[in-house]
Amino acid sequence: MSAPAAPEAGAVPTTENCRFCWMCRHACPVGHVTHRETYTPHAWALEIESVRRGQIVWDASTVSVLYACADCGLCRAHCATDQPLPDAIVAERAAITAAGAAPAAVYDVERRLRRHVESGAAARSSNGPRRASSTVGLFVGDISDAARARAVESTIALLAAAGVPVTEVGADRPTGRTAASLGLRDVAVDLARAVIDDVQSAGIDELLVLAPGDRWAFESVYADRLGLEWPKGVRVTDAIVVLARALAAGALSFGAPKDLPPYAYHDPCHTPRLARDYAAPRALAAAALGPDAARPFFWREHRAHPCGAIGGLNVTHPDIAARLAAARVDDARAAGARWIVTEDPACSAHLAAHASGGVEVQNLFELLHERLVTSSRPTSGR
Amino acid sequence: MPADLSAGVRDALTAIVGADHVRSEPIDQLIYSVDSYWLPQMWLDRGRRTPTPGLIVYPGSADEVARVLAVADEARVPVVPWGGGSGTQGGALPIHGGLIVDTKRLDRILEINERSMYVRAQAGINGGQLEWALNDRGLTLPHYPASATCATLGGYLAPRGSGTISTKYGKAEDLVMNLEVALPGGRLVRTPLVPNHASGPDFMRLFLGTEGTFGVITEATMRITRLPETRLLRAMLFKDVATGLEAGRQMMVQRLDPLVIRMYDPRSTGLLVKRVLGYELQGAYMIIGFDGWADIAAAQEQRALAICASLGARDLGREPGERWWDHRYDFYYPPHTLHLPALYGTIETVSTFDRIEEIYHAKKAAIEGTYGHLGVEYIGHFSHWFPWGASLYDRFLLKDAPPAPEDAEALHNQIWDTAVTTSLAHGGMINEHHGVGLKLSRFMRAQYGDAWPLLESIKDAIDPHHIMNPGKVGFERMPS
Repeated sequence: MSAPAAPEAGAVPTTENCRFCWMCRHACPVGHVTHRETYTPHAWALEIESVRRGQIVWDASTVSVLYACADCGLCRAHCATDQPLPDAIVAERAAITAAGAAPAAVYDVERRLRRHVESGAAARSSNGPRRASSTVGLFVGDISDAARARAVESTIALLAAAGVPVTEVGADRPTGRTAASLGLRDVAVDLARAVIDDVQSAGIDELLVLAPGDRWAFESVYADRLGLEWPKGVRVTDAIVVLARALAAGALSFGAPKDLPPYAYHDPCHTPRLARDYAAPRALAAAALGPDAARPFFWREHRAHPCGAIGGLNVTHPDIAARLAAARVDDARAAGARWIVTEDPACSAHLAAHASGGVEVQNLFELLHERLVTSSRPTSGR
Repeated sequence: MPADLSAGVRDALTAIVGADHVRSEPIDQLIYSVDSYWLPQMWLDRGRRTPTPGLIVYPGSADEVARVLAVADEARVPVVPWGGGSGTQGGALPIHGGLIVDTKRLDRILEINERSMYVRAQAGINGGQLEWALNDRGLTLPHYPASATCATLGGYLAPRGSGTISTKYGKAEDLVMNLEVALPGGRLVRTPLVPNHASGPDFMRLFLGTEGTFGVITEATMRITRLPETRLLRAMLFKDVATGLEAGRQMMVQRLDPLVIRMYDPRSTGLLVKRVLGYELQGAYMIIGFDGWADIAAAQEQRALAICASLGARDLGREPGERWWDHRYDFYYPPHTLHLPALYGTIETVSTFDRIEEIYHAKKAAIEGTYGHLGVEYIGHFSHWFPWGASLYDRFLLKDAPPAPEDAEALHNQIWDTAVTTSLAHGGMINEHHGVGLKLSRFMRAQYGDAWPLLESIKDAIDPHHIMNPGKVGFERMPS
């Protein structure tokens, strides 16, 4: 099936606005860790416009620069006039990818993701759609990733303890957001359609997600970049927010924290581009681990820098992905923390791979599950 | 690569900063060939190229900056310091090739001293990030320029920048306590870190306003203050510029200590205030603000309101003032800000109260009289006030610039000539806070007259081989 018309084409003129505007520089994480003017939002816009004007061409060097953007959304989140520069960059990447000029690593990702599309289709035809046992679903995603699988297991247990049974939706399905970020539009559309099919066949009216990145995919990427409509009547909610409400209602409790190392909470990748309840994960962490003993991260909440597990950066620019992770670890160490805690399994896995100097990384869902005090009778905390 | 950037120079620089921190890819050269000056943007917009640097170097310490300058000095290579690239005067353009020294690796806060109320930081730190760090402690560096999110600390100081609340807290140069500067020969000098002194000349100020022509600022200590308990904003509407200017003058000479007085002329009110804030008004729209302790700020505001009322101003209330404060930077974001393909320039100036209104009318008459038939508009606002005068932040704007870039540049420069000569003829300066850079370099002799040779001799003493940012701030001699 052919992909729908690219809606991001309408966003392309934003590069005209952004090419000579420096106003979001303070927020860009890639510019911050590389210190290179060429790796900043205005430079990416100027690069695109310079190609259009024939001043440079897309070659290995210029394409590599365009793929250095993390697609984290911070530039747009901090833009007074809401310029959709990330969408414009991704649209240009899609054209580059279609022309066969993207970095080789992008096509490796395409092959890997294409297998998910095919395996998911096979599973669907043999098993049929999952029937809902609850009107609330939990987006499971690609659980071939062991870190995600553990987080999913913990989240289901926590939700059950909170009196919120869920139907698992979208097992083995990447959301398609990474494919979209890399300019792999056709694969992104196929993955997104598969997710939408799963959601529609599950008969749910609310889909919980593990991390802000998944919610961004469903609320924004599908419509704005892929031209797909999210199922009407299905709202998307952060699972961590549901658990925080349950905690506040007394439906969850955790063992008294003692002898735990000081920790710092990391807002997951994509956080700043969404309306977000910043207090929810912090309240849960405080309940299970005690108050954040370390001075909070500088790059937090509306200015949260990604850890590097974002936008396919770890395949196109693993050096920058590693520097972003190292920066978060350095932040934690400087703040006196020995643990970094975050709920996004991709973030916790990526940070753990780059942790050093006595800093360890813990997934918040897993920690909460470990420290959960089970009650005799689940009470709805919703 | 230009002949003056031989492999030997590159090798020497690489030995200092490391191979990862010396760049010469064409895409880097393109990105560093343009700053916020209209002229190079216009050329690039029309598919043409502007001069590019041979190499871009990213030193990681003040010592590395000094050693880079020593290499450049020995090889007689032009050096252009680069912070955020957000300057509007072309001060960061590599018009003669050579080296760009990007200071952004110098981005550490070294000390926040809450007892003596200063912050000491490396000069390449981003202004927005520095402010966030201070705000986290309930502090602020009260320098709020439109470029606060994109400029560096060094970039605040090099052109003697000004910000939204300079009327109370001063310009960047009034907030600096000391500097560390790398000099062309490879030396580092540091000025005393004290509130003030009388121990001989204040040589720190040699480096303020010289825009990298005397050296590279590598560290600065800035005065900070606590975030205010209250901030009172309000909007007034005056029938014309004259009455608004008189109101502002009275507030200043009565030392009411306003945080901000910003008065838009009637054309700006009808154009910018309407477009950005959504208010459709006729007259001169003025924002007044007071901050600090609630009772003191309220008393100051009451006196200001009485002045405004005595001059027949209409009090628009608090909401339009607060809305302006919340959106004060929006004026500088696309598409609100002036942008291509238009032809435009910010021709700001400053003078005493007895001259500033005359300058406004003279410039308006000169620009609209000379170029009005082409469609050139003149707008202005008065944004930085002193007890002795005020700055006029005025602009010319032509929506449909000549299609040929050569013609556009010629017209642009011609209008600038008219604006600057008019300012000078009526007792104004060529600039109040954007600096000189490349754009105004040609006016420095006219600005300073008999004093100019003295400035040139100081330049010769500090930078005898003329490697530092040649062609800027009036210093035209090339490395030799």
